[in-house]
Amino acid sequence: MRYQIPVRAFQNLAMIFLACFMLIAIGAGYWGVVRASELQARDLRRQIERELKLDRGRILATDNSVMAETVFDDEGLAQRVYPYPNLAPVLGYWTFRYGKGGLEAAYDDYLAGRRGQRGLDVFDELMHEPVIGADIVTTIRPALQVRADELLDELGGRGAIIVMEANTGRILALASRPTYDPNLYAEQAEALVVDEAQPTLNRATQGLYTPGSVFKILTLAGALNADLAPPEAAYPQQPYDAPGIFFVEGFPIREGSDRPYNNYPFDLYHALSYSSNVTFAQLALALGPDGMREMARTFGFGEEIPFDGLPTAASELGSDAFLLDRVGLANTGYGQGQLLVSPLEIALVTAAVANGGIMPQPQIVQQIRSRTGDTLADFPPRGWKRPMSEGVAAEVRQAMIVSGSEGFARAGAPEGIAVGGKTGTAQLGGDNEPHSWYTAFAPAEGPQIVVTVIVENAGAGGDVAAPIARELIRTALAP
Amino acid sequence: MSSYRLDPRSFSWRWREFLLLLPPFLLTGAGFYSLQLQRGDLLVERYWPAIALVVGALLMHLIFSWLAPHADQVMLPLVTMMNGLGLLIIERLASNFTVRQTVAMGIGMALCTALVLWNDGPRFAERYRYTLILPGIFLLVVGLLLSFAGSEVGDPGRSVLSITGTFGVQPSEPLKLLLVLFLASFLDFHREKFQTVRLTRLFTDRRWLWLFIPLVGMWGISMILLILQRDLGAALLFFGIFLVLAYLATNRKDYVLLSLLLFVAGGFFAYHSFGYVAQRFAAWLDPWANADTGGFQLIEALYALANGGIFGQGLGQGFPDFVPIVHSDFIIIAIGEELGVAGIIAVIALYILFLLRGFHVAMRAPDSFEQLVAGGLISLLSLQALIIMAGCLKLMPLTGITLPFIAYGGTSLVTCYMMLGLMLRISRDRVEV
Repeated sequence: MRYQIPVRAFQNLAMIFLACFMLIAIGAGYWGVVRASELQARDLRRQIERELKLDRGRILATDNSVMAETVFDDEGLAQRVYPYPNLAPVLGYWTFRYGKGGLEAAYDDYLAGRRGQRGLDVFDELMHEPVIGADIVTTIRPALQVRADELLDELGGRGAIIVMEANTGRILALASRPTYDPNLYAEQAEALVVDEAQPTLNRATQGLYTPGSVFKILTLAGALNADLAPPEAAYPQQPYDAPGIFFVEGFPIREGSDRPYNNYPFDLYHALSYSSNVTFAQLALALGPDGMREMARTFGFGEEIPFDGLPTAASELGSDAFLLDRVGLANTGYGQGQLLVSPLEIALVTAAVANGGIMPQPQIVQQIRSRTGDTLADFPPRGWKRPMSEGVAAEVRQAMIVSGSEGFARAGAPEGIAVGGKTGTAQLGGDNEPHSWYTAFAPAEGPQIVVTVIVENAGAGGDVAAPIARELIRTALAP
Repeated sequence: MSSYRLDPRSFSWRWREFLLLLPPFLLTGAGFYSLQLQRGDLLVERYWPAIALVVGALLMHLIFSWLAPHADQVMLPLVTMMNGLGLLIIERLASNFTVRQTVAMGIGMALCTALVLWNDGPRFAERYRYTLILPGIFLLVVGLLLSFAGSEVGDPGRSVLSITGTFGVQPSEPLKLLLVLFLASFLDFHREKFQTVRLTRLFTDRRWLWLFIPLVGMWGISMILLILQRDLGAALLFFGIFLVLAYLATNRKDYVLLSLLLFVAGGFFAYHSFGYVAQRFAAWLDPWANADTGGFQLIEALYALANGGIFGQGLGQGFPDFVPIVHSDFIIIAIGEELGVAGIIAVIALYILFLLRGFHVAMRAPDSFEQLVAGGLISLLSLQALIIMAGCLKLMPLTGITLPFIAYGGTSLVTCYMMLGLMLRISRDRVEV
């Protein structure tokens, strides 16, 4: 028998090898399971590949009509199709090269199937079954949306329309002009970004405008809150210095029309109804800079309005220095000065008036649904701010109803429907035509909807914006 | 025992081997079918690699049943499983390479069978141990010349000798086989010196000279590979196999530790003296910061693993081709992405079974030389699998060696089959217990 190597040596060696193989297995598990999600987040190439082949969820309107869906071309690559391109300000865009915008970006996790999948699908995920993105159901009412787009297109100018459910803040229609075709975004992206008209700006939520007289609703609410405007008193509280003119530090505050001076003195409701600049300048002076600042804060000025992840602009009251100047403060009181307000803010203020003082949070997505129709998530309406007591809201509402029945805002009331409204004609200085504003709730008793319209550089609010609102109120409340 | 004669009348069904061959056949067939389904073109010729595998393995099985009925019955099915998996992944990743790999498989299987049937094989290697050095040196020099020629064209890692343009030979692959045979016979022959010399008499006992010859020689070869050929993987492999054989032959831990220290010192010196070694290390420690200087492959490999998750994306469903040269060095990564961590663990399980079976054969070999050859060969294959997998998984600096029996590489596959043949030959003359 020749020499034999001890069995012990083989055993020791085998143990070392086994331990090393175990380490390899642990290493595989470490990268493939423990660190997997972190690595996947950095792995852009696979993300792109996955995106190009992903069956992305659809965006639906309230009646389940499709606003955005994914179809696949001959090579199996995903193409995003928008059957209703005018809704671009809400829907946004989905492109490979230029990223995403609007709801496509805000709800990307759901649409791409990364969130909202059912718990039972853990097995599918382990087996890497193809992902089908969840559908998101918006609050858009297509008939109303189509009408809003038509009305804005007929004018041909720039502007925005918001139609909102009064007590829930749900957006029923939202239009912004100029806009773009999301089907062609990838081809036009570079031109759109440099376009002076800013077609990619959602004017309804991101546009900031001088509000003009629609701001008087806020001054009124602020004055009522501070007990500075007793409804039974006579207005303007300080008499005119000259016909239709009141001097602040030598600066003349002029009424916008002859009506307030001809009817002088009038009550608080008619102060709004006649859109008396002098009355609201005096109320602002009485409130003082701090009072105005506090009032604006309670209405959400200085904050970006939470809007389901869509971009919004914060409304601005003006600089401290400007408000400390009494002339500046007086001008701010009736909607001029340094004020910059978004149409969405005005719509929410109107909704708060109609809604007993509760300002709803605007909502555009009400449900997440699987492709097979199962509800994955429901989003109930939410309140955002409480800027007024119920009593104050009732007084402001009464003033808007008077305005909508006797005042300039009457132009926005369709036949047979009483509304509470307010016009605005925002003076811009120089040769610029004023912005034409209109905001209203309807019907006057038991408000259901809020309509806010702005048309840039179009003239008086009662002439341009109000007829659009009237048509939309008629359409929205048609049985 | 070497006087054992083949008896053609001794045909005996090797049922265990036959039954164990069925799973690899089924897996490979199902895998090729699945790939053809995804491609949509159900071409019969695309099944040829799978058919060749089945036919080749069955032929070997029949020949063994007839001429070597007592050879180990588990190793061939394990290798068939690895080779089938390899063909499948290569077909999925780079189907233009599948035919070459299949041809190499055929050559490998033929050589393997021949080695099993060569009665005097081990004795021949033992007798001509010093003669083995000549082709070994030749292969080493050719490999070095190739790497120098490669650095002139800007590819210092080049190590393939291209003969016709279609088929290339990688000299370092057969070199491994020769190395195991030489070291086994040398260490076995001088075993008594190894076992009796004391470390404390390092300078007074002249027999130490004999002990230093292999140590210095192997250290030198490893350093040449590391510094001149820039092949850390081969250096590690060659020196590792020397350590394994030294340990088995001498059973002396102090000698092994001394050698290991010497190697570590050499590596440390190379790290500080040669920029590219340090660069490799940096790319390993933080691939993201060194993506331009070699970290890129590793990053992509880790992304592929993360994408695979536990059960993988499914064969043909991932993007393993994002990883450069995925079909050879990174094939385990492709398995990880498409078959998941579960797939990698299955491959590891195959290597563990293969390792245990190899040691089983080695322990039962008739004498210490054959024990050393079998133990050395199985350790070489296991070490090679460990080094490349550890590199792909960022457990150690990345090296360019093949995953035995699975990765693309004709010379490697042929050499691996030859090693299998030697091990089966060593197991042949013992009756299964």
